[in-house]
Amino acid sequence: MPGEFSDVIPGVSESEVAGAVQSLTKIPVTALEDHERFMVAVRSLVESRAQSGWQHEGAEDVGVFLLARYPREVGERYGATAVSDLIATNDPILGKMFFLNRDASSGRGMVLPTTPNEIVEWVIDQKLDDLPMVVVHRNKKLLISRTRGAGGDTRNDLIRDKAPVASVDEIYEALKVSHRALLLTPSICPAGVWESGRSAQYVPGPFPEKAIQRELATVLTSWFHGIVKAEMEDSISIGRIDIRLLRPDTEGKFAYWVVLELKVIKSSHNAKKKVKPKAVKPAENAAVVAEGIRQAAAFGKDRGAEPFLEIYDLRKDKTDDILAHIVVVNELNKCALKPKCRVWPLFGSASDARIAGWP
Amino acid sequence: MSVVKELDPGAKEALSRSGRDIMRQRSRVIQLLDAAERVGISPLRAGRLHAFAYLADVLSPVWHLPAFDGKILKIEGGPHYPDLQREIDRLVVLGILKVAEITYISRPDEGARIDGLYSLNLHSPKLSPILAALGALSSEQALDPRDWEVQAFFVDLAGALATVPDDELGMSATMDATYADERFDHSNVIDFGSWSTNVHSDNLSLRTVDRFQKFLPQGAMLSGGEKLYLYASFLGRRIRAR
Repeated sequence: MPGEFSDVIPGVSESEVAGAVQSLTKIPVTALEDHERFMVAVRSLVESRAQSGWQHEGAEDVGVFLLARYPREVGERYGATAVSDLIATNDPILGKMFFLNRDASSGRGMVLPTTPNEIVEWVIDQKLDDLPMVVVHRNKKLLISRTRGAGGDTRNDLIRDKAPVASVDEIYEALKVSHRALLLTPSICPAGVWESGRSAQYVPGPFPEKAIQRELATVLTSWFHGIVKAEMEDSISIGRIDIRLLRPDTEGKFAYWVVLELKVIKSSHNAKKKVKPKAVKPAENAAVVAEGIRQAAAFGKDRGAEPFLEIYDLRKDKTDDILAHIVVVNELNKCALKPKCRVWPLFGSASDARIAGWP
Repeated sequence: MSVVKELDPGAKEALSRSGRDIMRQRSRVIQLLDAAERVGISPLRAGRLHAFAYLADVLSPVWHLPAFDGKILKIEGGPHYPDLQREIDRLVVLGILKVAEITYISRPDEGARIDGLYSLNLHSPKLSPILAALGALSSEQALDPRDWEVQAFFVDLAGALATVPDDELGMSATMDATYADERFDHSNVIDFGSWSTNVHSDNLSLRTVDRFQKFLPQGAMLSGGEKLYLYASFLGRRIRAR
């Protein structure tokens, strides 16, 4: 039965099993949707090449990766040839266009069919614009992702030519980047954070925590791919953990490192269009944060991990310091292991963000 | 009776017991090759296709699915299913599969075995409706909703096996904990599914998968997909260490 490990498995050694488990931080993130999984995989591949000094690459600057449902079918239209395991091999990726599976591991590849400036137009002309796409720019150290296809929104990520380390500072950096690039204003925010068409009125979506949680889990997975495993939500006897990060210890076993609890504070409850939203009182928001502190501290103690509480502020008026509320202060004072608490402002419009000093 | 009389010979055959078995085998081949297409490892040599079929069978409990055969004749060179190969060949004749580079592989004491590079014939007008009926395109179009789950399992397993070096995919089955179990000599049937009362104890592959949990902290969970990728990593390490 699972969980009973005293018996010997005939012909299988513990070291073989332990060795396989070490790949846990490197395997695809099966909980993500295909296009997210593809983006994480391409980023990992590109950064591994950048971190090895772009060895085996020529003078080309740009590489293009397309997620294809049937890579061979698309590739054969253009005479593309089979490629397999680009991570493990030294095959050049720049100056090429690839039609790959969701793990960006196998598929078809060919020389870029046009100049780098005309790639997006070429993809649209070929009616491939529904394929999630990532374009690599070596010289600009830029990864431009179009998760909904060539005609969709873009997301820019810096190609890191130094491997990240598993540190608390690095988590903060990942959260900072994701806040600015993916959450700050409604146009970049994932669906569900704001009620559709009502962000300017600061009406949150029905489940904003869920939408933010999913985005952060993807970001942290991508950021720490290969060194840390990010898991979403875990129901245990003391409640739920929104995101937990595991890393291997010196004996090769995985241990909890950080648990992140996410809370949202807001001006009103969710309400559909033309329905007046019910206001949320400051004391209600403070109670939510106090509960978050309790949960994060309990999770941290239970799992032997560092507790973080990330508070996403969807309030229209953000002047009230939520961490100064007496219930919050009291809750923090009760904790033997105090969670690191951070407040991240989210704005209902780009102009509000600018007025608040966000460029 | 009148209904049966109105059916064409192919449909009547499909209603018979042997006909159903044939359809099951054909469906399985198409689903396996569809998964291989999606992860970009198609076309597959016959040996790799049979290895994939075997691993899908022995690892099906990871996905909480019943085994298709539940047993395998252990032979040198890796798993081979004659019934499956017969239907692969018929599907080639029907134009639903393509085969290239056909060769014969000599087998000691057992004559020769046909080999080739097999893939779905993506230009066949018959293929798309078949894939839809088998749940390979969407859960809504599947004749049996459970096929959607089966297909998701095959695609994740194929993705995991894609991490094993291309020329060693066929060997991965022989490195499998159940197939490699030295308590069973060649020419013996390994009955990993049907005589088992507790699949978690009698299926060594599954026991190996379960053992991954030992290296995780209490409360940590692995998804079915993650278990398959870790198991593929286990097979890859065994292949490299041989």
